[in-house]
Amino acid sequence: MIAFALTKISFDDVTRQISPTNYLATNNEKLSLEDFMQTMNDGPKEIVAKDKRTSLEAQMNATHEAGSVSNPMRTIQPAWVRISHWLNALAAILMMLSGWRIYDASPVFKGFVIPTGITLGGWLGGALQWHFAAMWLLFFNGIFYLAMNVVTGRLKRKFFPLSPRAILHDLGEALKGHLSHAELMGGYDFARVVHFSAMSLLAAFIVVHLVMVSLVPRSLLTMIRGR
Amino acid sequence: MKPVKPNRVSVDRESLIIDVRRELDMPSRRLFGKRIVTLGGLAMLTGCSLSDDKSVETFLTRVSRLNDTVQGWLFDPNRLAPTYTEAQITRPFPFNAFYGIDEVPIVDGSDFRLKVSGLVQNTKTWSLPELYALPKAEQITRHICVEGWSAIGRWGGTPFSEFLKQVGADTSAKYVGFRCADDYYESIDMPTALHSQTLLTFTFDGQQLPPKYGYPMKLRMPTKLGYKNPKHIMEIFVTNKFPGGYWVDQGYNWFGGS
Repeated sequence: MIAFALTKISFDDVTRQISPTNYLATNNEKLSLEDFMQTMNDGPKEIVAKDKRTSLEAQMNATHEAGSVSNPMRTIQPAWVRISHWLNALAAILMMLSGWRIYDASPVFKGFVIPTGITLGGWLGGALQWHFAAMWLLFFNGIFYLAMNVVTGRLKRKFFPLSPRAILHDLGEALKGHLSHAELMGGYDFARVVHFSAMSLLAAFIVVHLVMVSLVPRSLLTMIRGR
Repeated sequence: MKPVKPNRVSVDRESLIIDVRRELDMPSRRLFGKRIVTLGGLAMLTGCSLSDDKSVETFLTRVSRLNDTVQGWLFDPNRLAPTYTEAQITRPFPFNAFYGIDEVPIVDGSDFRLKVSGLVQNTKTWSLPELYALPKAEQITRHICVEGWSAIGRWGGTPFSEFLKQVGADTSAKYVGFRCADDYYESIDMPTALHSQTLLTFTFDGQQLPPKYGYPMKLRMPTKLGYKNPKHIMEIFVTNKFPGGYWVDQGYNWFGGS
């Protein structure tokens, strides 16, 4: 359940910051897609001209009714969410790079190995050390993230069906080692396949978001400084 | 059902204007951002190496020792590793060591004496018939290699806790260490040494333990990874001084199990 919760949390955070929804359907002054295209084609002069036509008061109203999302000086995500996100990204990448080296020691899929040049750790033992060191970064960052979500009330606002108690219960069970691989995933070998598939999804997630960032580079800036 | 209204995509105009204006102001920054995320840009990262740094290595080793402590806390002496049926045994069971199968040490069983030392009351040596006379136990469990492969085997011998009782081991000591005929060495935590599934084994699949699987004896712990299970044991000692292990001293995690 924690895994699902975290997935939801991270998806939610990232998409909130860099999806076009920041532009869409939040304003009382609506534009059609045609208008949007027109605006893009008209270039900066036309935009400025249109901009001037709108009264300051109307702009202010629009801004407020849009949940303040459109105010460029307003922080979209608080600093702790941003810090937590980037630590999470670092941990995920370290675990992935070292995990590839671990995978190579005994490939799940015969004939498919990951080039050692793009792995981390130098050898199996080194990769395991990296993997289980980055695990703590992920772990404590996750605790920090959940704690801050509960303390600030963000959890209740955003993830209503998940109660803090349920999350803490699962966390406790995991800590006591009761959520073993065998019980959770139907056998050791199958657990390896699940582990690999989860990594592939995460890798695809990163690739898609890198593409999104390269298309709208400003979103990266927003994710770092908050606006 | 009502016909679905065509969905007109609406735009927050102010946001759009602000963004477009900013982007148009800084075309070079946009281009730079794009170029970083190219194959060439990413390829340059592969030249980075963090693994060789001595301080990084020290840090990672320290974290690994910390993980030993946490694994010690999480260890539940009453939790058992899964057991399997005879039909699930992996045949042939793989041979694995830090050397090839033609370099397996040949131990002469007739004059073999197991040495016992350290924090024990009785340091007398043990012949194989004396060891075979100890209470019997057997298990079919999964041997899991740190590399990721695994195999199910059937081992027979005596509960290691029983052996420790026989030699009057100080069970409040921290470690039990092993020295082996193939120059392998290993050590384990006392709680795992006393775990009910930790066996000092003399047979494999109902036969005398063959040389390739560790004759004359192998310590079998289904709660730990393969490299923690020493073969060809010649000496067992109890100590409070961290003895390390062949692979552990090269970087593998010491606790190596659950």
